Amino acid sequence: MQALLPSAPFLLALSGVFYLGAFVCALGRFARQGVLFHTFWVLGFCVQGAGLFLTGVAAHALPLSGAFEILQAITWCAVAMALLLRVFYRVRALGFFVTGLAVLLCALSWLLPRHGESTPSFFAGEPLLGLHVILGILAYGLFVLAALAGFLYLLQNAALRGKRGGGLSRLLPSLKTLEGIQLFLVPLGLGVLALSLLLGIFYWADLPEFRQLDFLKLLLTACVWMGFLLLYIFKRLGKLSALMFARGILAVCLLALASIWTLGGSARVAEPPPHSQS
Amino acid sequence: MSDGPSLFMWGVSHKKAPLQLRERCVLSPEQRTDFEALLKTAGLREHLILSTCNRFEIYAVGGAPPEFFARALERLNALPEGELENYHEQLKGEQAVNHLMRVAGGLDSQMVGETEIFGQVKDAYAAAQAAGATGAVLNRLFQKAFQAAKWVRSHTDISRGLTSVGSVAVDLAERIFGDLEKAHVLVLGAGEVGEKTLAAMRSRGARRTTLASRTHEHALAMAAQDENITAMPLQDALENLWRFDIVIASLAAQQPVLENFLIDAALTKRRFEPMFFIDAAMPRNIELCGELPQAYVYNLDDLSKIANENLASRHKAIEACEKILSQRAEKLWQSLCLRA
Repeated sequence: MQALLPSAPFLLALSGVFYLGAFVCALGRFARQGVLFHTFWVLGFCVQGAGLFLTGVAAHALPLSGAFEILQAITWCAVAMALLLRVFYRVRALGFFVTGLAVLLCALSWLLPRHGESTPSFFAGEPLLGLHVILGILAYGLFVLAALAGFLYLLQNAALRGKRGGGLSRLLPSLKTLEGIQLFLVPLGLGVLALSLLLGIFYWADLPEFRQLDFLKLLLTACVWMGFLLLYIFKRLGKLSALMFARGILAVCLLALASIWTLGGSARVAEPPPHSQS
Repeated sequence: MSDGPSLFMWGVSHKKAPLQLRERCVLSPEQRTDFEALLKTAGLREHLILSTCNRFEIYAVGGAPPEFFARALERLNALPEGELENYHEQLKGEQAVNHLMRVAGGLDSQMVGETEIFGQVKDAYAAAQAAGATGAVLNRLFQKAFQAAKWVRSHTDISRGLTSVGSVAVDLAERIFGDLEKAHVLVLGAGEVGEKTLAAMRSRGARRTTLASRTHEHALAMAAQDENITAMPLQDALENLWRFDIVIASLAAQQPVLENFLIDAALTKRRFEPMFFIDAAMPRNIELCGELPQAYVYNLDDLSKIANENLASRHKAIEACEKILSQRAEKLWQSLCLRA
């Protein structure tokens, strides 16, 4: 398996190239994407998945102990959810924006610290701890997608207010559709993240070494969860307009993504406990 | 050859005057009668009034000082003296002929190439003819203008790819609500633009439609013809405004019917649910002071502006039309001069 190690970063880089290819294909005619666009999109998704898997194999654990890997995994989850979302919603130009976002996040991830070979992961041997991280990443993927829908909402709203009819705004999904997507993804993300937090709290209370490493992460994640929960409650109670909701989702998601930087740092400084290296 | 007949055109149109001023130039039937009476004192041998959403124009033969029409219109509409000073236009002779041909052909319209103006010019001509206000010059002028307008429509691409106000409104509604099947549409008044917009909404799936008119019997009669339309008294419709997602207003009223407080109250009751207002009336039916959250208000100018966004693609056709109409105007003017 060690022989496969060099190919993991290559695959992750290749997935970025595929996403870029899909994005470029969609640039000209982003309302009706063709076969080439979909081929690039699905290839990017599969190759990124394979790259993450090989990274995990190489580290004998989940590939989530560095900010680079985390952002790659969030991108992968967001792309997966977007592919699923197409089944439930007829969203025009979604692929264009999702592949654009994937390119951006992939490019950003290469600027972040990566999981070093000298830094073994403590996830091995603690399957529930791995589940905690996976659920957290999945929730972040859902929130990223909700934020993308919020961003599109702001674009559409600005075009309608500016009384513009042509160009990009004509092809964006409707305000009601985008609001519906956010109201579907946010509670889903909240539920998944709640489960992840519960598992995290269990380990935090149970394992002293985990307490040292992940208090900051747990706190930040709890803040993100609380932020999304408050936005969702206010929206459902009719205290928040769809516009404010979209702005709020976008702001909290950006803060959540920014906090990933700190997670990379905490992962590097952590010393693995001997008993978790099974 | 003589100097030709003293033909001229005086008018206020969308090219110079903003919507806020144009709507104040719209005459009620009583004002129109008074205006006609004033024209008779101006020493005009022939005259015709063309009044549409985008223009108020007088085509006339005879001598009248240019400021006469502006002052008369200002007085009738209680506008301050000199208000129209920078917004009116006066054309004489061949220029007036060319202008009429451009108007009838849809080249001077806000939505270049639209066909509705042709019918409006025809109606104005029929009304002037019935009132005995036209003579040899205007009769020939308008008949030739109709021929030219028909020719450019059938021989050029001026109307190809043209988007109607109705379809622009439906596109916008879909950008707000997505599927229109669940949207509840209220139509205030039975104006032509309102009716066409409603038809466009229906063709894209809108099923729940309520019609309210000043004359409730009229609304009932329309509802009887279509099972998907419900008639409602105007006052009830205004009180229940919050129940509707899309409001198409085309009431003939000199003052706004949908005042700010009514829209504000409806939005409050809807708890941030969006509302789409289409003001298809002239003068406008919707009073709008400032921006209301979740209310998207479009008037005829806004819709026309959007519809014109594909104008560049018709640039060649427009150039061809301009050339043809200019040649025809020159020829007609020469023949009018010979006859004078």
